[in-house]
Amino acid sequence: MTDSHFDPGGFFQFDLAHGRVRTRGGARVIVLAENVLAPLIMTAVQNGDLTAIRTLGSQLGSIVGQSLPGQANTLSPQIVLTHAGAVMSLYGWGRLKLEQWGGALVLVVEGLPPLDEDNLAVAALLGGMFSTLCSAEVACVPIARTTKYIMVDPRIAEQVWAWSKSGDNLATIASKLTPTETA
Amino acid sequence: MSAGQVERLQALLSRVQANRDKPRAVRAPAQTTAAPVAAVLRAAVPPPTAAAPMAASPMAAHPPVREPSPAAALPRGESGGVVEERVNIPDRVSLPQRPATAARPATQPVARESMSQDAARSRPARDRTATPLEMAVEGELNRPTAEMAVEGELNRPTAEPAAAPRPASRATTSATERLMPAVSAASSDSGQYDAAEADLEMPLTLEPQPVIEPQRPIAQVVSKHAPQLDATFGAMLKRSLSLRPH
Repeated sequence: MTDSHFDPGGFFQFDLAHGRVRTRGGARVIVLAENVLAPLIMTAVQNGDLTAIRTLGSQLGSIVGQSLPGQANTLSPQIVLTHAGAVMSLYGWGRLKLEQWGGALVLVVEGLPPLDEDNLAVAALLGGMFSTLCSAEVACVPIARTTKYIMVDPRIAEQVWAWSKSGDNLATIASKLTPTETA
Repeated sequence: MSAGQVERLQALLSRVQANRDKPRAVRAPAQTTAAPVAAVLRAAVPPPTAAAPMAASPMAAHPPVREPSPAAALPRGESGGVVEERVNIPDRVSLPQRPATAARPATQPVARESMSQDAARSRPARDRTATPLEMAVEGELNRPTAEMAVEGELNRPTAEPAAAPRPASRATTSATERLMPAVSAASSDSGQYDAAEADLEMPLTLEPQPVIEPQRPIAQVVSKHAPQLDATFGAMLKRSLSLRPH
């Protein structure tokens, strides 16, 4: 399986003559310091509008989808996670891992700089990325005081978020969820 | 006369011949030194009397040793009775004294000599006209079988064979040697040590080496249940998105 690994070689193109940085897909990016990005994200959280972060996640999902050898839904979890984690690392959004708690998928992001207190920005980023990658609406709800995000249907995201804010840990939240026929 | 007696007679004849061939100057000191030693030992043991029947020990000639007691620390006026008794009857005072360890073996030759004298008294008188060979044969033939067996045990050479196989372990070797005494080449009829016989008497023992401590557990549980992983990421995500509060 030669396509199981993501090739980061030549992903960024630095055009020093024109002062531009582009990705392999042609999108222009700007390198920001984390102490500059953090206030911007805090402002977006306070305004209750994380659309820009979710859009960034969708772009990352597109890059991951283009690097995959096929549709993400038809590939093994290991391949999808490898490519998604590689793209997140290239953009400096930490190290991505995947856990399974019963029937619930849980994303773990480690090595992130401190952005907002409830990790809602990263949750928006992950939701946008996997929604684009899997062609389905996905809500990644952060678990309080952890670096974990449970992937659920957007219609129950508020309920899960309320459980998390009330102090339920991941095991308790997963035990409160049961699979249904309709997705 | 049986074959065993004939062989024993031949062995005794050869021993008598060998003793006769030895120079007399060599035997004389041995005989002269044995008598003074016996006399000294005999002198150390006074003849038993009715007054001191328990004094028949080498330590009886030593002066009585007073046993340390709390009464010895008291003035003589207070314990005069005890002191007077010790002075008047010294043998009774020395009764609890045990003989010294170095003097204890001296009693064994005396006892052995007295036993041999008793045996000589019980034997019939020798014929003065008999030759030394006949006297020796007569004496040996008249001895009881048990006495000869004891003497054979004492005269048995204790040298170990040079080519005797050694067991692997030290503990097994000592145990085997205790159970089976070493057989010398001289005791063999042929005069040569038989290796096969030695193998039968001292078998080679091989003991297994101790089991080494394993670094990993001998039995290890890898997984209690089979992993519930879907084949595709889409199936996993679909199941996760189907979760509802119950």
